[in-house]
Amino acid sequence: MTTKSVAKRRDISSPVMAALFIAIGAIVIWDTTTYTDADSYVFPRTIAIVMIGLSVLLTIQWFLGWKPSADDPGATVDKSIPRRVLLVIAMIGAALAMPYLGFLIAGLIAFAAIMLIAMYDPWTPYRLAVYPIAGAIIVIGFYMLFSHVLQVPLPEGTMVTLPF
Amino acid sequence: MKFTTAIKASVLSLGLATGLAIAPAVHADDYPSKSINYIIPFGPGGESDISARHQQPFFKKMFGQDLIISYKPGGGGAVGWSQLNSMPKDGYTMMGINLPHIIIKPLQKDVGFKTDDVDGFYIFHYTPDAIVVTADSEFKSLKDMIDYAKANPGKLTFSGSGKGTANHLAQVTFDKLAGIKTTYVAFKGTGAAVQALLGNQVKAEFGYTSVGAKHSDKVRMLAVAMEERHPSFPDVPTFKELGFDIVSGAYRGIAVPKGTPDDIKNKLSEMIGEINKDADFRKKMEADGFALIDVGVDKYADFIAEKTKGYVESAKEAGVIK
Amino acid sequence: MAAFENLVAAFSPLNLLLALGGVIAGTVIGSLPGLTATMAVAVLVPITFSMEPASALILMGAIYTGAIYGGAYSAILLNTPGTPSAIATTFDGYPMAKNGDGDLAVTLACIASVVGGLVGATFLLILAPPLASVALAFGPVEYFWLAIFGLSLIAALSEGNLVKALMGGCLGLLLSAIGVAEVSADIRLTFGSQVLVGGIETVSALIGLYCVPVLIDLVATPDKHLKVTTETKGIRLPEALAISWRGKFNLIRSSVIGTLVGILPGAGGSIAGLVAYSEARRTAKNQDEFGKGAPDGVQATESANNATVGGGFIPTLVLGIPGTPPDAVILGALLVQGVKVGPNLFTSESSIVYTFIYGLFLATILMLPTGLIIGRYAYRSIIAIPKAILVPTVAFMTLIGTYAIRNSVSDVVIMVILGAIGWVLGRFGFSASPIVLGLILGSIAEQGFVQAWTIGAATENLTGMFFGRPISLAIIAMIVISLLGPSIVKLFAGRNANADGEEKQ
Repeated sequence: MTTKSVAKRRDISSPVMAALFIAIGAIVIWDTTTYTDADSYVFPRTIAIVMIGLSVLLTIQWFLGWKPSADDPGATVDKSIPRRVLLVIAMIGAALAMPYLGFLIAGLIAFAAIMLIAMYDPWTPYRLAVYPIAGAIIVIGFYMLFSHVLQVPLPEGTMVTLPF
Repeated sequence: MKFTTAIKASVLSLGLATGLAIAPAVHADDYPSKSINYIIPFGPGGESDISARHQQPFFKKMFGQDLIISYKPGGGGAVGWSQLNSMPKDGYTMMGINLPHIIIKPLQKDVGFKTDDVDGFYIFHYTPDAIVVTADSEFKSLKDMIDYAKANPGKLTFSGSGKGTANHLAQVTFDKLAGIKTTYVAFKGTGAAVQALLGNQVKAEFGYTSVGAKHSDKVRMLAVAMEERHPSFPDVPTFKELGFDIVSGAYRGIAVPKGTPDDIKNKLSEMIGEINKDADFRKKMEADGFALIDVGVDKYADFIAEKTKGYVESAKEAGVIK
Repeated sequence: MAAFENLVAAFSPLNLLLALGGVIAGTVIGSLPGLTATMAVAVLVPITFSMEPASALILMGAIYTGAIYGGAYSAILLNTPGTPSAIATTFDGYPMAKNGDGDLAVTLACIASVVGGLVGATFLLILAPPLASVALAFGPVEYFWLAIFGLSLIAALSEGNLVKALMGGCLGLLLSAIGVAEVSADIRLTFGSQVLVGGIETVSALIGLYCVPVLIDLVATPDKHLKVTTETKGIRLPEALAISWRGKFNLIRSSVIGTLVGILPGAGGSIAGLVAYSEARRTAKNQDEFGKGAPDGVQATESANNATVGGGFIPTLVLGIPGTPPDAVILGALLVQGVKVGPNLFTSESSIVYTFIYGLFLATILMLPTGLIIGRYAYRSIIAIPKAILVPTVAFMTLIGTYAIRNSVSDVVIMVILGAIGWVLGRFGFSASPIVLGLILGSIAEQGFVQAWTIGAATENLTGMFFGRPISLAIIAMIVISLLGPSIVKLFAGRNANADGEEKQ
């Protein structure tokens, strides 16, 4: 019995996730005690209790080493983690920057950043010329569509103002 | 050291530049010189939306500029009102406001705004509360209904739109004044409450006069919570006539972000007042069951103060606030 | 002959143009995640003030129809339901696209949408007044059981561990409770944060949970987004028609389900698609293929959700109670124009309503050619655009689309965070669909339950309320059939498969 096979069989993700869900359930139940109306807590409290019960069941399953289906992937993380994290940061950053930079500028910066994150091919002169232009057209085009045709009041930004 | 000063300097100049760029160059004389954003803090299709849609063409006709209606729903209006004061204060952004919502919501929990934060300048109509039953209901009059409720405590079920709303608070007041106990079943919006009534899931609805107007062939109203009878329903008595002092409903008005120049606010108040005076507008609004009122910028604060007292009392009895 | 005159009126050059333009605009709008049919219709309202009521209705109906169909593109090609109606389309549509059959899936969706739209419009034309009573027969308790029926799909859909799927479903149900409760006024699970007061908006959650994980995985590898088979097959129309003919019973059944669910105000296209999917899966011989790229799944949801368009107009026009959110906007526009809805609309002002219904037929039929052409371009662009453009474009669309739903920056942040959480949970065997089902059905289930309980307690007949009403009993029977059938089989099959696996190790 190698350590590797033990690690594989004793994937601890299930009890960790179960503990997390139990914690969420506990927080929900605690929150329900502050409601003024009986109609408000019946539902979330019941669901939280059911969820905690299921989490316990999951832990028991894990303890017995019983995996109900071959499809259950357990915990797997592969390939480029940095790019994934950067993508999420870029998207949240764009959202948080919107009220300050305005939607258009935040969108352009996010587009450029995500383009760099998603770029695997070498930067040939052609790509260097075409990709940013294509990106700008897409961002400005959608911006115009939403703000002028669909009349969505997109954030204008408090730090920078645009002439249009 | 040098670096930080450089940053300070650039931040300062940037701030100055943008400050100059966004300095509101608004004058009341040529106002409005462009279209005005009119934000409804609810989804489309509700009474707030429909009354704003009624104003839209009249505003364009009378003042030459468009009202651009957009929606910012969420949290029973709280999402919109909590963001109102961070919006442009140039007079080209305004938002619909609703009573009792702007009074009750901030008293429940921190929802991001206080009633005083909402800089309202006009309350232009309300939908009076009304007791609605189906056309074939056993209740022919309010007295029939009260007799039934006295004989069967708790068994008289009312559908209504939400809790802590005009409908709910009116039901609580009615129970108290009539000395009866009825059951209020909250639904999501007036549409769902009417659906429950028409499907006989409940015995009656605590709704609005707009329900009576929209579904006139299928329902009848037993009493309306107005000072005088509604012009579209001369046959329906008021609660007052029947001996219950209930004048209530969902009041709707408009607010601007705090900091909007006073002369702009006054001008807007005048404009909304003028639309309210238009005979054609009145006819359309009244046909939909709305009741027009004129609480302009000068009377707004007193109106809110007066309404707050009654709402807070009923909301406490209803258990909506502590 | 009045009917003939209305038919002619519907086919006037202006109305033809409006129907065509509406379908095209709607399809494009629906395909962009976050741009919903509701919004598209709402933008049009001021324009329709200067139009004949019938023409305005045709334009809005055409946009609405197109938008519901357009939602299929992003569902199939990006695993992102453009509208909630297309949730179940992702279940099989995206696997089909990954297997290189994206073009086929898009064409199948188009045909199914046209069939569904025609069936829904036919019911609206012939049976609207009697069918409107269905909406009234559904009380709170029926909505509750219908939501439970939708939730029972979690068991059927769970690919891996059933316990994990149910936990995900509970998480989704709890997410639906965040914010100001819709019926009781309490503010729940916000933990003092004002960002959460508005709750988790369903469409932005859909975008986050379905689309963001796809983007996260796209940037991790240099591989192509979708597998492309070497020979270009065009729109694969003959193949799609043959499959559609084979699945004709599925199409018709799903369309009827879609119409009936569409009649129920508040239920909407998402539930219609889910119920139709569930029924298609239950009655299919190839149950194992569902969720892995079964054309029947795409057909079921797409025909059902387009049938809700016609179905939803039934309570809207007959009762004045909007069947779906876009119907609410259309109803508002009609009221402002002075059109009084009600059964009389089908007699006294018949020209408006019949011209509109014929217009809806027209728009649905026009959807076939326009949908096939736009679908072809959508597919081509998705496979041809290099990753370094595709990923930022889709990411940007999710940002702007999510913002536009409620004009809220908070929703955008919530969307991305939910997406990241969804990705992590996915890695641990918790898939997105149960969470989404919980989130969508949570408020319907809760409201139905609380209302039914209140009424039942008031009338001192709780048991009768929950288990004594014929429609409820019928839905409960459907739940039992769909739940016990596959999951018992699965449980035993899983145990055996697992036992085998253990032995091999």
